[in-house]
Amino acid sequence: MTKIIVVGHGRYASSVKDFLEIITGSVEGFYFVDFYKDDSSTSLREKLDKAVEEIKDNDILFICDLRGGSPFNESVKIAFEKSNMEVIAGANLAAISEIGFNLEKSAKELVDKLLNDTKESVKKLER
Amino acid sequence: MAKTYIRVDDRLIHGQTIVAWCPTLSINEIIAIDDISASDSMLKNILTMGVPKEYNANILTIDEAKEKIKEESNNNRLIIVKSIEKLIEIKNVINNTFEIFLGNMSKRDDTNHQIKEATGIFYLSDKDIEDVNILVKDGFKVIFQQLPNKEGKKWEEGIKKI
Repeated sequence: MTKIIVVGHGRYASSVKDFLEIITGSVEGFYFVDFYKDDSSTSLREKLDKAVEEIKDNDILFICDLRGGSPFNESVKIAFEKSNMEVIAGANLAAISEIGFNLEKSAKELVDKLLNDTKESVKKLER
Repeated sequence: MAKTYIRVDDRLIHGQTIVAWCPTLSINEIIAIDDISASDSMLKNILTMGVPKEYNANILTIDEAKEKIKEESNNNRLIIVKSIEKLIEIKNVINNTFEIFLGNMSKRDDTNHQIKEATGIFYLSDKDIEDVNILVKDGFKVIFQQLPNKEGKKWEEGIKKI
């Protein structure tokens, strides 16, 4: 069983929440952490630690907006030495929307699924 | 000719650095200075893994960084320190052709001034102001600027009301 923490700059996480509620109708198993302009990396870390504390007996997958950003950096610091935690940055909404139906899978399986689904679902107009 | 820029940012390398500053300044080499991160191979690994290869990120202790900065380079370099205190520690190896951009400077116990003249987070202590005034006197161009596409404020104008 995997729990998901979505974390990103501004209202990224809250907006993913809105999106999921509309597209899949459920955000069960998801936690959302916003990183605002006046947050510091310390206050961001506190919010993440609080979310992790609640669900640490499960697998945890951090879904971050941007590689190298503070939400990604702090998530990686938490997950790096934990075998039940994975981190991904830059996954798209099409891929994220499928995750909610697969939470019985391990974080390792889900992170690979996200990576693959993101690549597969990017689309441009073909004439 | 290759240019060197300096940034004071308490988040060291993060989203704004990678997405905004490095492309705008055509950076090919990042020299991020932090004794704690540089002495911990795990932290070092974490900080560099999110940085695109073309920016060639180095996480260095202050002593390692001094050596590196002294070396001749054809790369456009971005030197990042977490605080003004660290900026002063590298003062002898930098010169006043390098522009200094002040970025994320969060509140600390001793920061009794907040600069609101520019967009961004700028908390300063009396010591910070004293230190930067010395740099400015030595001819350094110091600018309050969180992001490259927002207008920066010169140090002298930013601290006018203090």
